[in-house]
Amino acid sequence: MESGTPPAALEEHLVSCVQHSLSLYLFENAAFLCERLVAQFPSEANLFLLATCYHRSNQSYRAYHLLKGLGGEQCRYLYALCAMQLGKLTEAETALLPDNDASRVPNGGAGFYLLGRIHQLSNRHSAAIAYYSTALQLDPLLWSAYEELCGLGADQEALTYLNTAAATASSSSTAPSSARLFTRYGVGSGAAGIADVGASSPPPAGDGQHGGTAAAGCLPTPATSMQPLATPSLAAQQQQQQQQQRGGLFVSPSGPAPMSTAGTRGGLGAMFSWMDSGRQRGAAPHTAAGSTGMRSSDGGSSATPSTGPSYLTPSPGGRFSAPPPHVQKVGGAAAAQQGMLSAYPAADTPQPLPVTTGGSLAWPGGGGDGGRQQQQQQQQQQARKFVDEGKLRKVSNKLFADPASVLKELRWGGGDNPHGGGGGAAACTTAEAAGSLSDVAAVHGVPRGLTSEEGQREALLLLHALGEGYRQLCMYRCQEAIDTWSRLPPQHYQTGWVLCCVGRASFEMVDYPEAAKAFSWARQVDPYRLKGLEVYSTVLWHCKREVDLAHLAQAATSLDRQSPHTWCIMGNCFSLQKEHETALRYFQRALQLDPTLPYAYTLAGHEYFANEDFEKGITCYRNAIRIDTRHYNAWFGMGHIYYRQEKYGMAEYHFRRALTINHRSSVLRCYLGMALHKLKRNPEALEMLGQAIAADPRNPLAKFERAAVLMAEERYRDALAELHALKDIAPREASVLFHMGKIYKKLDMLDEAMACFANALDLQPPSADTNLIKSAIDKLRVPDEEEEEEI
Amino acid sequence: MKLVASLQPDTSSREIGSMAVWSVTSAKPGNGVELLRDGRDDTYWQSDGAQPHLVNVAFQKKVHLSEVAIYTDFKLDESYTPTKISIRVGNTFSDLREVRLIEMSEPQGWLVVRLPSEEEPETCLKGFMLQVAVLANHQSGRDTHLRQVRVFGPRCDPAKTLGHEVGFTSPQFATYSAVR
Repeated sequence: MESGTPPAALEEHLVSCVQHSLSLYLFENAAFLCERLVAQFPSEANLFLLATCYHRSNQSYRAYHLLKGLGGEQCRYLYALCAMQLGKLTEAETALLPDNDASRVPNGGAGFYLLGRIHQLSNRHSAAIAYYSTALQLDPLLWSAYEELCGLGADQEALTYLNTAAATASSSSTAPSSARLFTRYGVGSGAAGIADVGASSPPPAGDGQHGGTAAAGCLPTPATSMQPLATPSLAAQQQQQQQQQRGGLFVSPSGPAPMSTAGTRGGLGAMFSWMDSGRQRGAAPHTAAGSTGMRSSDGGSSATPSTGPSYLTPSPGGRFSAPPPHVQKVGGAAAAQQGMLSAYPAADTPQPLPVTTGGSLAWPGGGGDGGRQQQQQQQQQQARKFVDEGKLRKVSNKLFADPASVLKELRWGGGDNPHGGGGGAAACTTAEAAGSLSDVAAVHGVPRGLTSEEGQREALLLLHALGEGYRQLCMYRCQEAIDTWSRLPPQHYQTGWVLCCVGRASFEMVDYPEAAKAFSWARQVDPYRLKGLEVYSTVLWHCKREVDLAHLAQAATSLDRQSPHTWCIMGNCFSLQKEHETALRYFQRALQLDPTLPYAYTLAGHEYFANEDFEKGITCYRNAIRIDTRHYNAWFGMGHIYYRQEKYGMAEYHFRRALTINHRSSVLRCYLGMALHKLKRNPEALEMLGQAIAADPRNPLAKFERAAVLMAEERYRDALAELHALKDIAPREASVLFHMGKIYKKLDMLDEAMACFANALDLQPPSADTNLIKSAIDKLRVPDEEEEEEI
Repeated sequence: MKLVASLQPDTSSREIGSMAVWSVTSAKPGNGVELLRDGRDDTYWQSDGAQPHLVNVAFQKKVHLSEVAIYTDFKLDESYTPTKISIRVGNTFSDLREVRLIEMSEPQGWLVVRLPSEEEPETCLKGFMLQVAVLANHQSGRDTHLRQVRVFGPRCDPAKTLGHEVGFTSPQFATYSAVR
C-alpha cells in the first residue's frame, strides 16, 4: 500500500495511471483514481486533472464546479469551456479574460476562439469577428474560427486571413524541404511511421530500438527522422514499437511560429507545455526508451540533439510573454542538418513532446526536476478538433507518444531545459503543468504528428482552397464557391464536408436536381454523416420526392436520434405529407436538442405559416434571426407572412433585408417585385421583376408576375408576350392559359381567348379552377366591366 | 355524410376547433364541455336540460368551414345517443341558418358531415359561428352524450395566396414559389 511508498512517488504514479486511463478512454476509471489522487494531494494540477476526467465523461457541470476560482491557465480554459456548455457565458468570459486583460487569454488561438464563440452567442458580433480574427492570426489552422467568421458575414476578415495563409503557404521557408513531410508515428517502426503524406523520406532512422539508445535512437537518424508533420495524422497507426519517440510531436499550428513569417504573428501562439510527467517517473512503466531518441528533429535545433520537435515556450507568465522563441528554432531546425525539418516552432531546446501515457503531464507536483520546463501543451491541438454544432469538445489531442518515448523525453528533460523563451522551466507552475493534459498520449500505436513549417504550408494550402470556397458560399456567391471547390484534388472533393457544401451551394442557387445529386454522393461517400443533411431534406421536399425523403428520415433516425438534424429531416418528411402538426412537433424536438440551430426555427415558422398561425410563425422567424442575423430564409419567411397578411410595407422591408444578405436570389427579387406591385409602385416592381428574370431565367413565377403587372398597367401586348414565353417554359400550366385568355378577351380577340380557355380546361386543373374557367368562358361574350378581378 | 370508425388525416383540411370558443346549453357536473374536446373517445359530454341541446362553436374571425365530425357510440350510450342532429351556421346567435339535418340510427363511430351544400360542392361555408343541435335521441331519451366533436376548414394552398385565381400545378412553379 501506499504507506510504504514515499508520497511523491505515489502522486506521480497515480497521475500516470490516470493519464493512462484517459488515453485509453476509460474515463470512469480515471475519475476514480483521480479522486483518490486529489484526496491525498489536493493541488491545482490534480484538480485540473480531475476536472478533465469529468469533462471527458460528459459531466461538465462537475468540472465546472470543481474549477471555479482556480487561476491557472489551463484551469481557466477548461472552466470556460464547461461554463459555455452549461450556458453561463459571462462566467466563461471572465475566466478567459480576467480583468479584461487580453494578454492572459489561455491557450492562444483556442482561447480567442472561445471568446469569439461567447461573443457570438451573446450577440456581440463585431467583437466576435475581432476575436476570431485574432484566433486565426495565432493559429492559422483553427478552422472552426474561420468557419464562424464566414458565418458572421465577415468577408473582409476572411479574405485577409486567406491572403495571409496563401502568402505563408507560398513563402518558402527556411526549412529545407527536401524532406517531405511525413508523419512519424509514435510507434513507427523503422519505417516508421512515415506515414506519409506523400513524403517519401526514408524512414526515420533510428527506429527501432526502443530501448533506447538515446542517441542512437535519437533522431539522428535524422535522415529523415522526423519530418514533423504539421498535422498529425492519425492515419495509420503502426503497431510497431515505436522507437524513438517521435519527438514530441507537437503540432502546433500556432501561427506564430511557423514559417518564416512566424515572427510576424503574434507570438502567442506557441505556448507549449510539455508535460513532462514522465520525466520524473523515471523508470516506471515506460520502458526506457532510451533517450531521447525522440528527439529527432532537429538536428537543426541548435541546442540539443534535440529530439523531436520540441516546442517550447515556456511561458512563464502570460502566454504572451515570450515571443516565440521558436523563431530561432525555425531557423535552426530548418537547418535540418539532417535534413530534418525542425519541428515547427522548433524550440531551441528540444523539448520532446512528452506526451505519453504515463507521463505526459508533467506534474510539478512530482517535484519534478527542477529543470524541466513545462510547457503548455498547445491547446490548439485540441482546439482544432472542436466539434461542430456549437459544442466544443476537446478531442484528444494529437500528441500521442509511446510511453517509451515519453519516458525518453522525460529523460531528456532533465538536463536541458533552458530554452529560450522563457526558461520557463522552473517557472511553470503546477497549474501550467497540469495544463497540458495531453493525456491521450502515449497509447501504443497511436500516431503523433510533428509540426513543421512545410507541414504548415501544405496544410494552409489545403485549407486555403477549402476556405475560399466556404467564404464564397457564406456570401452566397454560390457559383464561385462551386468552381473553387471543383478545383480541389479528387480525394478531397469526395469527402462528406465538401460534397455537402457543394450541395448547399446548388440549393442556394435553386438548382435542386444538382443539389440532390451532390448530397446523395455525399451520403455514399460518408453514410454516417448527419450534419448538413437537413438541407438535403429540404431539397427533396422541393422536388417532392416523398420516397427518397422518407428513406432519408428512416436512415437518419436509425443513425442518431439525439441529433437535431435528424429531427429536422423527419419534420420535413412529414411536412411533405402535409401533416403539419406532426412536423411541428419534430422541429420542436430538434430545437430542444439544440436551441441554437436557426434552421430548425425557420422550418417551424414555415409550418406555422402553413397552418395559418401567423403570430407563432413570426415568433419563430424572429428567434431564427436572433440566433443568426444572416439567415435569409427567416427574413423571407417574415416577409412572406406579412405579404399574406397584406401588410405590404413590412413585407417589402423584410424582402429587402433578405436580399441584402443573398443578393443573387431570383425568388427573393420576385417576391420583392410582387410586394412593390401591391404597393402600387409598378415601375419599380417591373424593374425588380426584370432583375429577377435576369438573375435566373428559369424562374417562371417572375415572368408570370411581370405579366400580371403589365396587365394591371394595361400593357396587354407586352403581357401577352411574356405569357407566350412562359407557355414555352411551363406548357402544362393552366393558369398561364387562363390569363392569356383574359388578355385576349380584353384585346377583343375572342376566338383566341376561347381557344386558350379551352386549352386550359383540357389540362384538367383542379375542380375549383375548372369552374372558374368555365365561368370565364360563359362570360366571354359579356363585356368586362363588372368582372374586373384584380389579381 | 358518412360514418367511419376512425378519422383519417386529411391533407386538404385542417382542424380549426382550437380557434373557437365552445359552449353548451347545459351540462352535468363532471361531464362538461371540455370533455367534448379532450381527444378521447371514452369521455363524453352529457347534457342536463331540455331539448334541443346545443353546442355552440364561436370563432373570433370569419372562417371557412368544410366539415364537422361527431363521435357517438350507441352500444355504450343507448338512449343517450342522438338520432336527429341539425347543423347550423351563421354569424351570431340570431343569425344561424340550418345547413344540414341528419338522421342517424344506432351510430357507432365518427359521423363526418360535409358542410357545403350539394349544389355547390366546391365552395365552403363561411361564418363566425357553428351550432350543433341535438334534436332527438334514441328511445326518446331526454339527455344526450356526445363523445367528440371536431370542426374542419379547408387548407389553403400557398400558391393561391399569391393572389391568382387559378393555382399553379406544375413543378417548375412549385420550386420557385417560395424559399424554404
